[in-house]
This record gives sequence, structure tokens and C-alpha cells, in this order.
Amino acid sequence: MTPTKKQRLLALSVFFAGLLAGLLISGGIGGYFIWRIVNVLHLQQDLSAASEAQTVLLYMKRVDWGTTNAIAKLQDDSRERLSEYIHDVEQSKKEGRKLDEMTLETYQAARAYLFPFTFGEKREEDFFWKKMLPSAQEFVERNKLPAADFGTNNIGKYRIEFFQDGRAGCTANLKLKSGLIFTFLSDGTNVEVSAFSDGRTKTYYELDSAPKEEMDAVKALNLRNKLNDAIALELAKSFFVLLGHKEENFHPAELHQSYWVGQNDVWGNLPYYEVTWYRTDVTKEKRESGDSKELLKSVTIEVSGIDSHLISYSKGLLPIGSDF
Amino acid sequence: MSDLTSLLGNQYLPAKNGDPALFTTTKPFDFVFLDGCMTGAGSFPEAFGIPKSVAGSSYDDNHKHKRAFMGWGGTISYSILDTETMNWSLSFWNVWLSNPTTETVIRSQNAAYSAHPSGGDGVPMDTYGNLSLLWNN
Repeated sequence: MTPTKKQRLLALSVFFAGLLAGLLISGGIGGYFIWRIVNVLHLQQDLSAASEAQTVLLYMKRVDWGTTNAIAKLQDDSRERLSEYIHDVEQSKKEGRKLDEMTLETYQAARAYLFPFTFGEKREEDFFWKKMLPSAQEFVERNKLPAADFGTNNIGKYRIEFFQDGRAGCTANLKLKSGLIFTFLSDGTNVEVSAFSDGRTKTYYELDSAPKEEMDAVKALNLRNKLNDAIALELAKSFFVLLGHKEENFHPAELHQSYWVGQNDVWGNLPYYEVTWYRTDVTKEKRESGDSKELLKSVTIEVSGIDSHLISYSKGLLPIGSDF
Repeated sequence: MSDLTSLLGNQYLPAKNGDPALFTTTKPFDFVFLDGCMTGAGSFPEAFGIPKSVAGSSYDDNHKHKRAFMGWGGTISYSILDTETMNWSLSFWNVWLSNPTTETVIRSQNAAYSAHPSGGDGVPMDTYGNLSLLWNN
């Protein structure tokens, strides 16, 4: 019996549907195995890096007592390697890669080694990761500073000192390897960046005994100044407002351009400006008294005339988050 | 005091009878911190070439070498039961020296007061001259 045209079409359809399903299933199975192989290769890499990091950790703990320069140099190198390892693991985490137990344990050990929170460990660690770093990041974004790397491999130094006199809160400092320096003040609940410095701009030079080349280089700096007093003041005011201060709470701003000075009263301008605001309750008499508690009721901002960036900020003895 | 003044060669005569103040510094100091009782209350600042009556901004306005004086304006106490003033001073030095290119005198004082608000026990820390002086200066 000869199949009809309809039956042939049906048979062909069933054949191709089967073929397609087969291809899909085998493709899926193949893909799964390829994914497994890639993951295994990654895991092997992780294990190898973890073993190396563990070796470095072991070595570091053994030479901790060392004080000679040679050992110090080796320790610096090893610290660098541990920082890189931490950075790699954090990157892998961000990418959603699966990490084996040994890698995670080594990561924790390396992090604990480089960031030892010895006093009130949990409290310090929580403050460091949950308060300090986010506050510093927010400060950078708010003031439109160039993007800063807050990864663990870019943490230079840090210090947290909880108050010992019954008050809640602490003071803290953070220095990034890129140079940025932050000072924090916390009342136990709130935290703020109370001072900041870009860590690289020198706004005063004493050139009494400087060679001619250095004097010429410093003199040339002001040729790059793009601001005048009025524009610099507006720029500083913009940071002042961004940082949450209100002009009505302060006396008029006091501005001066930075300068260098040499022997025999030789001097010249630098392309930087310092602006200070004293709070309205700081009278002339109080300022003249020299009492630093009065002088500290103020805000000081330094800006660059070269690229208009915020060089430094310091808020004196004012409440967290407000002027009064 | 006059011995010290003549030894250091820094003279300051306040304005009197229409004559302007006379300020001569042959040996001005960059930084002075006299950590003891009443050191800010007398004329030590003048003896070290950092007169009280010369505002810090005057050094900036006239482009002079930066200089600063610190001294307690009254009687302070040091005892085994009251170490806050000593802690204040330690905190000041710790902050000022640990960041010699970024921490100013006034910022370091701020840090000391934040950590030890009762430092000085009510006695003012009298500060004259440039508040923005750095250790590196």
C-alpha cells in the first residue's frame, strides 16, 4: 500500500521533530558537561591560588616577630600578594562564580590577617565595613571626586578608637593607598566624614633653602591657576552646601589664596584657596581669646584653582549632621 | 619672662599713646606647644615670636612664614585618677605627627577634643598664629 501524501508529510514532520529534540537534548547535555569542565578548571585555579595564599599566610605568621629590613621587605611583598588574592576572590564573588570551601576559608583568613580587629573585634569590624567604607564612598560621590577604589587591596591604613569615657561612638581614620584620607566621627548611631584630604596637594611651601629648580617649579604652579578669588569662593561654597552646611548659620566666609614663602620675605601665590566659615555664635572677642574650642566652631574647605577639585574639608566641633 | 624674651630676641610692644604696636622677631619659632599650667595665659607667645594680638590670617594676608603657639590658659591637673588632659595631648601629637602632610594644628586639636572632650578640664587651649600649620611645614 502506497502511503498518501498526507501520511508522508506526517512521517517527515515526526522525523524532523525527533531530530530537533535529539539535537536539543544532546546539546544541553554537552553544554552541561562543558560548563562542568570549565567550572572544574576554575576551581583548580582557585585551589592553586588558595594554596599559595595559605603558604603566604603561614609564612607571614612565622616572620611576624621579625624586625630586620629584609624581613620587613618580604612582609611588604607578601602583604601585596595577599591583597591581590583578596581582590581576586572578591572579583570572583561579584561575577557570581562558585568558590570552593578552601578558597573562602583562605579568603577569610587573609582578610583577618590584613585587617586585624583585635579590640572588640566584631564591633570594630562592623564599623569598618558597614559604616566607614560606605560613608567614605558616599563622601566621594557627593563631592564629585574622581572615582576611588575602596577594594581591600587599596586600603592603606585605618584606625578606630571607641570612646573610653562611657560615650557611645568613636573616632576613626582611613587612608587609601591612592592617597585619600578620611576622618570619621560617630555617636554610636550616626557617622559622618568630619575631615577629608586628597593627600597629594601641598598648599604651602617654605623655600628658604630650596634650590633654584624647586623654586622655579613652585613659582610655575600658579600659571595653571584658572580661578580668581570670587570664583574660588563660589566653588568652595558649592562644596560647603553639598556637605550639608547652611550659610545662614555662619559668618561671611573668609578666603585667602595659598602662597609660598622664601628668605627675606620673598613670596608668591599658589593655585589653591582656603575658605573658612565661623559659626554665628563665635564672636570677634571669642576668636581673639585664642580658645581653640571656639575656633573649632568652624568649617574649612580648600579648593584647587587648577582643576577645581576639593583638596580638603574639615568640620570642627559641630554636631554630627548639623551646624548647631 | 623678660630674660626669655631677650634670649630669644623677639620683642612685642603693644600700641600705646597713639604709637602703633612694635613687633620684632629675630628668632620666630615655627611651632610651640607648652604643655603646662598657665602657659597660654601670659606672654610666652610674644616671647616665641607669635604674638596673641596678631591674628592667624595676618600671616596669610602678609605672606609670612606660618607659625603657631599652643598653651593652656589656666591650671590643669595631671593625676593618676585624671589623665584626660594628658590623653588630650597624646591624641593631639598622635594625629599631628601621624599625618605630617595633611593634618593641621586645628584639625589635630579637633581630633583630640573629639576623643577627649574633657581634656584641660574646662581650661581653654589657647592657640595663636596659623591654625593650618602642618608638621611637615
